[in-house]
Amino acid sequence: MLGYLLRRLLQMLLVIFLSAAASYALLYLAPGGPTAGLRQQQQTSRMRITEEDMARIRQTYELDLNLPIRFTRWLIGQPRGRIIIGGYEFFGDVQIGCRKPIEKTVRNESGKFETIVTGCKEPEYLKDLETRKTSKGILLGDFGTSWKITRGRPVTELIGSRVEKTVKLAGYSILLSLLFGIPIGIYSAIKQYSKFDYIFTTLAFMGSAMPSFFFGIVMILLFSIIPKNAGLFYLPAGSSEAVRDYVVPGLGTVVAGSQTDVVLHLILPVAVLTIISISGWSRFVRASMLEVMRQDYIRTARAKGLRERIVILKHGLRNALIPFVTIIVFSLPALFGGAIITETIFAWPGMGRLYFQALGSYDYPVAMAILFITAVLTVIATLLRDILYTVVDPRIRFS
Amino acid sequence: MRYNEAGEPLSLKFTLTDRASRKAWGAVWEQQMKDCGIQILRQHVPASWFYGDNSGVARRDFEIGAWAWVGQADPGGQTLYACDQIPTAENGWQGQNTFGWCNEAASNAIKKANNTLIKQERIDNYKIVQQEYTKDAIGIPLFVSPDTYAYNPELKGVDPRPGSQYFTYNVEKWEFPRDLVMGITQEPDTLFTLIASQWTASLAMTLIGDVAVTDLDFDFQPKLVTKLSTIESGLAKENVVEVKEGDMVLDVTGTPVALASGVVVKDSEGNEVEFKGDPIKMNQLTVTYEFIPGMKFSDGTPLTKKDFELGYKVACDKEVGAVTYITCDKTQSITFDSDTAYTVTWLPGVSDPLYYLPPYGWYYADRVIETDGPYKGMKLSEVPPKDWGTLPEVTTKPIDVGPYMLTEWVPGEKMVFEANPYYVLGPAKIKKIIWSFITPENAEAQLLNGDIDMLSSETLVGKTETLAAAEAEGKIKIDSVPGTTWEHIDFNLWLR
Repeated sequence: MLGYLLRRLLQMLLVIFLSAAASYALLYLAPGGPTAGLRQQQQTSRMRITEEDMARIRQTYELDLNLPIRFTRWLIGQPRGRIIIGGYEFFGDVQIGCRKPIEKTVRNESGKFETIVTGCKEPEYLKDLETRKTSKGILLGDFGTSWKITRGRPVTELIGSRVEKTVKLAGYSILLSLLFGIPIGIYSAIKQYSKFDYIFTTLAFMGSAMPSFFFGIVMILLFSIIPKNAGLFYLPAGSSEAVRDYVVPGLGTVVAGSQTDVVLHLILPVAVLTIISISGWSRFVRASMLEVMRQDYIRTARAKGLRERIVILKHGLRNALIPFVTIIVFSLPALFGGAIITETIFAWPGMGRLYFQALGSYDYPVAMAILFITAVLTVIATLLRDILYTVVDPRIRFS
Repeated sequence: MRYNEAGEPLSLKFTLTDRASRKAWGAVWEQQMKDCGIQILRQHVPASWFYGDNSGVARRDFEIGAWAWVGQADPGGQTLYACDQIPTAENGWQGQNTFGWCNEAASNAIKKANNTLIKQERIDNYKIVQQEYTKDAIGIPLFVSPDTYAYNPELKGVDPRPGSQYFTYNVEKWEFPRDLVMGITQEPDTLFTLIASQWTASLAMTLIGDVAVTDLDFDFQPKLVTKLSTIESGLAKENVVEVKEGDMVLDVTGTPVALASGVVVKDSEGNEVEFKGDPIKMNQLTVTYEFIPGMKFSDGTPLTKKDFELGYKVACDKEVGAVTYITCDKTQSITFDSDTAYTVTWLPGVSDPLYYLPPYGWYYADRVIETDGPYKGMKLSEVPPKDWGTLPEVTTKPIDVGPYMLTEWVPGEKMVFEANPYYVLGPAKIKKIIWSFITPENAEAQLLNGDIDMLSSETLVGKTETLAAAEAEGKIKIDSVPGTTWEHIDFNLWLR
């Protein structure tokens, strides 16, 4: 067991490193970036970006450093300057980037012009890093500072302000989906082709097929705008809590930020996420149950004279839930990552929206922090799944 | 369809971004051109490519293109249409004359307009540019994008005006029977506007710090200054000075340089001359910016000379993290005359048409830092500017002289502004304004539900059917005024 866990731990570290390196490189190699559009602002009398300005801005974003150097500084906060051992300095004059590149425009094979870097006017050396602000690296929990969304403030502070909202939203949704999805799936399976099965199968298909943005808008219309206009009880149309007190027919005045206010704001987005999840999960459990209930050991259990309830719950469900474990554990990254579309439709200040915003505004430290944490959680979820398999299925052993 | 002798149709490639509104009018124009016998091959491309540094417009990679310009009250020295502003591979793709239009009369008029500070002379010259533009038909102006505002009919005093950047310019006069909730879709990144990139950061600072000069109806009006610092008002003067080798001047490209052999400058007669060692006579502008007396920070402390001094010091500190320092680099010297005025002597050669707008603001020099850290207990003026970008007293909790003070900021959720009792023009009528951070997709629902009271052009792209129906029912009021951007179709006249 210990050997297995150690081996898995090493594999996890490798996977996390590779995924971090890949996503970091992809972000920086993609078109655009934090300096996109700056050069086009050169010609106004009050906004004139010189070569020196450009070099300074590139340095702010560390774009003047070679990609591997940038990556290791982000990952472990190194290198920070010359290496000094026993009073002796090493590698101070090693070039690690370029402050002012020499650019040349050439025609490429397709006849289009493109700008290529042909040299470097002002190189950056390892010793130049000593005067720069450097984070401790994400492996030590320092995600650096935001470039755009909360410029100059720590990424952890920004994520901290959103993660609770997302955990709340996703947590309630997952919990409710489990509470309803599993029993519905079981019941549909053991009452296959019954009216109940037909109704829930139809609803499940509708729920799975309905895009969340459309579903969200319909829910806002049905449970917020129409009843509000009719003077009936209504639910708030968006945000995680109100910014001022309001009156809801049947409830009276709801104080902004109170428990009632928070619950009222949760209902619609949680309902959308839950209904969509129940649709998928109940179908999954139903299919899995149907498969299991046809197995010989179920027939044997029944032949032994066990009560049907025992047969279903102890022999059927336990085996049917084995593949379902995968779905449940992978809800862990979703708890952190949020639901971009639902959060957007309901103006929910969660992680999904933050990630989307970070990508759109080229706030790479924020985007990378979310990607990295999601990758770590996914890897942990994978390990958790494998451990849980051994719990729910005694036939599986660590090896 | 029109064909040439070889049977090929007259067709042109039309490049524009994939924004929804452009897809809509692009399809209409394509059909109109078809009716004229011209085949338009419309291609919608990502904005990142079309406006990228090394692609699309910047590389003049289009036959016909469409995008938007931002209109201003004064072209402000734009050399957009000048012959020497055509980006090419040879000049390193410098310039914004991406359509390659070179008309000598227009080009000369642009230069003349940029060489005079007399408003009427500029207007006359820009008129020539417009006439030549129309004669040569280098593009098709389409429409000015409207700025749309939808709000609760109980809100009074909102008066958005054409061309104005900030609809909150008169926020202190607005009236509403309760706390006003405004829906904002983009949360400010920082309130340190020297480094902020988002428009909403500047909008928030119009509440906290106010605007010195308003820009209504494509013109400028004094608000926190006694009058515009124009030559006509007597607050600015242009002298002829003699410059010699080593003196800092502004060359003809608008770059501050030390005068040396080979540098080309504009002499006092408006001629471009190359410096060859002999002194040259150049124009030098000196402007006094006078602010109204009685301004106080929201804690009751009067605004004084040292606050202006700090404003200049920080704005010109190269480590503060600003994108450009061109204004500082063009400043030869500055004197702080009193608690309400300072005088800037610009480098010889500076002829910025917007010279009468105050270039520097102020910061609360004596504010005591309360945030834990190395600067706790110190005054703001003692904190090195390089660390201002991370100092909460500057970025999230600024104290200023505007009609409102920021009392709460919950990231991702809201900002709360309360009326500044010491505001120089009298306390604002609405006691509390709350910015609720929402999404464009959720904005109309919250407005119609009464969760928020106002949506601005920051969120709304126009009057939708839903909003129009709500307006017809009297639930909301909608104002729509010409905005600052106008769409146009341009022909690339110099394809290679």
